[in-house]
Amino acid sequence: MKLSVKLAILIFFAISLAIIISSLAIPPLINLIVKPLPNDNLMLRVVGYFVAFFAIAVVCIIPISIAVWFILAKMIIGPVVNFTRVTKIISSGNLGERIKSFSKDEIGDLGRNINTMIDHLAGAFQNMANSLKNEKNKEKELALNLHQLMIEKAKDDALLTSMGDAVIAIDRDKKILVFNKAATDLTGVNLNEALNAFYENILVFVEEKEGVPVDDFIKGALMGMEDKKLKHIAIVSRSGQRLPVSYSLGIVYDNDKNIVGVVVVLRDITYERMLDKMKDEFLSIASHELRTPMSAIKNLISMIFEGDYGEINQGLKDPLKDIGTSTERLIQLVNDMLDVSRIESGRLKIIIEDVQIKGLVEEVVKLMQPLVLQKQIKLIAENIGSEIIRTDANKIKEVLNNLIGNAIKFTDQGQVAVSAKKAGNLIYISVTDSGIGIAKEDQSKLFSKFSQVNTNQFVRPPGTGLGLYISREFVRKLGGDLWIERSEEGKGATFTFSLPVLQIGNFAQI
Amino acid sequence: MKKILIVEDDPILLKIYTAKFSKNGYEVVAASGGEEGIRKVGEEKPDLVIVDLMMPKVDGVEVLRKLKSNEETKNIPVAILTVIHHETVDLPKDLLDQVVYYWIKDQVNPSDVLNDVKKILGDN
Repeated sequence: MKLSVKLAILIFFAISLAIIISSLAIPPLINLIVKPLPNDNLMLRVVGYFVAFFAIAVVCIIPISIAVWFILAKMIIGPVVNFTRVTKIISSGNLGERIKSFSKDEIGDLGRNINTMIDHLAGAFQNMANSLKNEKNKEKELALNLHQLMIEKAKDDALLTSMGDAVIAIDRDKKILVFNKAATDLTGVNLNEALNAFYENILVFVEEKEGVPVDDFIKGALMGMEDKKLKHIAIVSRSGQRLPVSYSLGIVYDNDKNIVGVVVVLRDITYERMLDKMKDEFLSIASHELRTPMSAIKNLISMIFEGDYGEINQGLKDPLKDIGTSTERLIQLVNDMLDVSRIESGRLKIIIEDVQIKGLVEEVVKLMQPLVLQKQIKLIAENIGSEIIRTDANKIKEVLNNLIGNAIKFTDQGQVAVSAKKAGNLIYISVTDSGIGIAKEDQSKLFSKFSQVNTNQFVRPPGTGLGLYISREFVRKLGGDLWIERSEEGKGATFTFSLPVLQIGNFAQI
Repeated sequence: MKKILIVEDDPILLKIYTAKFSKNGYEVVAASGGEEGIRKVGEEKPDLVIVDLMMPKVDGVEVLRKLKSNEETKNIPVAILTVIHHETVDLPKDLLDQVVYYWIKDQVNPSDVLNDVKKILGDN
């Protein structure tokens, strides 16, 4: 019910009650007080009326006023005081207080509204507190992440710094993004100068020996071209120093397979080159130093034999011949061991050129004719096409020497035939003999070092046991292979090796 | 008597060649080092120079190069002793072209060399 209505009713009843009581009380009171008073004393009569009205006031007006006052207090003042109290509490920060009871009028509504307001206020504060808490948590998380990132970065930095190899990351705009300490050591360029610079200004690559510029493999990689794996390149440092390096390239892609950049790892191989040089020098000196006295022995034997130092005792002829044979074996062994040394230390030198197979085979066959003449067997070359292949002629001559030599050694009758056939990019050259053949169980050991079939001391044929091993290594280094095609005990043997007609890749020097 | 100059640092090999050649009517001058060889070629003006390329302590190729670039000596025929086998000495092709003959040491004996020398000098 609206307050104004309540007040109206209150006033209506109060006034009604007042009038009724006074109407009822005034006449008897006046009779009681004024009537007995003398008529001619006006003053007395007035006082009498005053007393009468005073009595009415006491009896009726004051109680009613008090009653009205009580009702108003309960209806309006009480709540207002309560509101004042509650709002004071609220404004001091305690949002827990609420208006507890509500009358069914505007005052009650006000109370409810105040409660709602407080609720909203409390809610807003809570939200703010929550947001703040969230913010704080996020900040903590961020700090943690940052800390984590920093640790990761520190790890990466430590990794990059401690790496002996230079690591350079280049983006697709050709700018350098990562340039570690080793890169600085290698190029003489500081990090701050290298970062965001174009790589072409910082990384200069040339050919190791001649110093002529090489293909820009980084540019190629950024364009997605396959790395040709250049060998024997060097980097030119700020100070002009040329340092031999080996490199590896990693292309970086994004999720859509676009090239985002390239990571180049460079290693200074000056030391390795020095080691290689030392190996080469050693092998070179070893071979010269070993050969010189052996050459001398061989020459002297032949000269003695030819009578250059006077006629020799007949009895000496045989032992001299044996010295000669032993020396030949020694020379062959030294040559073979030097070859094995070169193969195993990776210092085998290969020179690729156009070679006509027919000419090569015929040359070797011709040179080895003297060996077969003594044995009454034939050595022929047949079906050799006029193919020209790209390979190392001298190495192939050695292989043929070895295979034909073996064939002749193990054949006492019939013939040794060399043939060739081409299939696709490969040429197959076979040496077939009609000799004693090789038992199946011995075939697997043939290509290992110092293997010799028939370990009987007396029948062991001269040979170092390294020939097939070396021949196979040579052929393999040239891109082919060597194997025993067919053999059976007593039925001869066929050895075949393959060679690519065209070399894939750059073989100029190993 | 035709003169042959041999550049060879091994004393025994030198002795062998000297013996072979001088027994067959040639005057032999020996040089055991590169410097000595070049100098003696200039002094002695031999009819043929034989250089052993497989000397461990002397760079035979360098000697050959110097002989062929020196005005005084470049027209004197030079033959070389080299190695057998699939190893090739790093002899650039232009130098190889200027060499009149080459022997593969391990495959020839002194008599073979003598016969070839006779052919080179036209003394068959």
